[in-house]
Amino acid sequence: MPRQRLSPGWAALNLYGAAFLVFLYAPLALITVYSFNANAINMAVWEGFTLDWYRTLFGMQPAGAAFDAAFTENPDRIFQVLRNSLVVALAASAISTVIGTATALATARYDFIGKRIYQGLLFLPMMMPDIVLGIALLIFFVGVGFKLSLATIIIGHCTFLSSYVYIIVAARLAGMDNTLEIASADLGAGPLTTFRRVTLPLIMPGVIGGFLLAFIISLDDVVITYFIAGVDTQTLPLFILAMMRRGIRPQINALAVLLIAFSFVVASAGLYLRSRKN
Amino acid sequence: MRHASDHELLRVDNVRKSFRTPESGVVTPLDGITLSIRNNEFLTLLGPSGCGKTTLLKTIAGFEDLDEGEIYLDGRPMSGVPAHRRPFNTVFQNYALFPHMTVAGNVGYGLQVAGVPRAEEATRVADVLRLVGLSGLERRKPAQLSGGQQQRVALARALVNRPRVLLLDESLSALDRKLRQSMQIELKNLQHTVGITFIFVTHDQEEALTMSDRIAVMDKGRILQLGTPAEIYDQPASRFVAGFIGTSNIFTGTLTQDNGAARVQVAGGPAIAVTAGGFTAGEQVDVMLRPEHFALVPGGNAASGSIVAVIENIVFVGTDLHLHGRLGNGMPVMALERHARAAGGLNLKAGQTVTLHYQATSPHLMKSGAA
Repeated sequence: MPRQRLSPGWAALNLYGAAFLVFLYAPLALITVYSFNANAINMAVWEGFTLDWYRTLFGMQPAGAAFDAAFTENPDRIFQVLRNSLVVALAASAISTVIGTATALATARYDFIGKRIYQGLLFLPMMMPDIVLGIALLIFFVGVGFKLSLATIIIGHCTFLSSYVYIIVAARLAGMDNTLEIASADLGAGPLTTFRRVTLPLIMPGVIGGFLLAFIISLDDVVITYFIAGVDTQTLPLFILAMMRRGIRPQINALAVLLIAFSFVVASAGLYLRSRKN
Repeated sequence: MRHASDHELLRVDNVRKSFRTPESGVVTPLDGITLSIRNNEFLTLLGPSGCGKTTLLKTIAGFEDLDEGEIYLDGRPMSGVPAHRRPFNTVFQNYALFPHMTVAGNVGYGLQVAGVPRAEEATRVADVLRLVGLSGLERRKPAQLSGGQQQRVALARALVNRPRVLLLDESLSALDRKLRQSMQIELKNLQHTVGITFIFVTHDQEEALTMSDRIAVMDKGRILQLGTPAEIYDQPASRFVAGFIGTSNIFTGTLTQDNGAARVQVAGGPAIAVTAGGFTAGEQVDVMLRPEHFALVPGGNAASGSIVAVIENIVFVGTDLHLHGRLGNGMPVMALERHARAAGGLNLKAGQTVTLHYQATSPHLMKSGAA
């Protein structure tokens, strides 16, 4: 942008840019403010600063009021669903990272019949409406007699997370000079050594970026998970959804803010690693 | 200093390779190549792009398989030996330095992979970096080096493994002219110092003439001529080789013999006095005259051993003047004149008629129409 005196046109554009950011982040800012509001009945009216909602969330303070039914039933419930979510997200993104990276390597390094079609099919799970994928997975699991559990959620998540990892790693590989691998062989390194010492370090930012993206997507997936979660295997987003049915509670705000903070850290780490030069 | 011996190190035996292009044509970069490479020699594969020289280098390195034929190292066939088990190392055109490793890491890579002890690795890396003049840059990353320095790292990374053969793929072409010329001489000296066989691929004839013990001129997957730089320059086997190496005037004509005086009668042009060795009267031949073979005299005075031309263009290149002219029948001809001599009184101008004298031993005869 030319660094001249600000013309009305540029000023308008700057204003537009600022407005867009506000549009993006105002809801998140609002929910953050609400999560510290002591007013339990009408959260739009500020009554004073409190950390109570965070405390009750983790059972550090007995939930006194009657509208905390969801927690009074079982104070440890939140830890259980959080644990479920983390197990699913970690397992699914780890498996997807391996599958996606291997696929990206195969398509980047080898030619085979139907490669174009194969690559096209890899994009499809991402384009597919979640609800269709969810129903399809449910029918499949029931059809083959799979008992719905954490395992089915992990498998289900892998189907579309692998595509995300594939795209990110493939982009990284496209920017990599493959004579480096030839040079490694020329210097006496076998295929495994070449992969470990040359290829993997060079695509690592893509691999980690893909893993983190997959992790975040898995962590907050609702639609697909809703169909393929077993009765006793609730994840955090499903838990929040269930809480919402009984009305919006201040604890939900607190939980949402924690999720925002966590996602922000993970996503920033991913972006940083992707943008970092070798 | 070690010199090339007659001992055969590497033998390329009737190798062939062809592949389909996406346009469903077939290209044959190697069309029956046989080549014997001697111990400690500096051999250059020279040819235009697409002539197969890089493919030949890649098949020697083991990056590509052969369709037919075999490559032998000390009599041992190399097919079935993967690239990482061949005692050859390559200096790549784009250097292919590992961007995530330091200079020392790049150079030490081959030794680490081979399981050389740490202490020995450190010594050998330090030695080879001193040899290429990069001591003190061990901790730098490739991105922090100039093109010339990267080139030296690539060279050091290959040399440190003490390969039987060092393969260089257009390794100097990315450098600017000045640096390239000094690297040519350095590389040649280095080859003497380390006593390793170098196979150098280039399309630059000047580079080939400067550095090589022998040059193999290639075109369309074949070797057209193999010889020392002087042999290739003075006695090219064909019009193609003559045209590719240096500048030349090539005329096609019929060889005539008259009382022992041999001439080539150019159709519609001059008769060129030649030494007929190996050719018989009546044969169609190409005759080559290098621009520097001519001694220039002002005025048109055609006699045996000279041709008359009209200067069209004078190009000043420093030490020399390149004179572009035409013969009476319109054929182009090029002659060379020392700038000092021309300035000293010849006073050459475009449009001037001059006589170009040559020794009867200067014209070189080639079979006409040979590839």
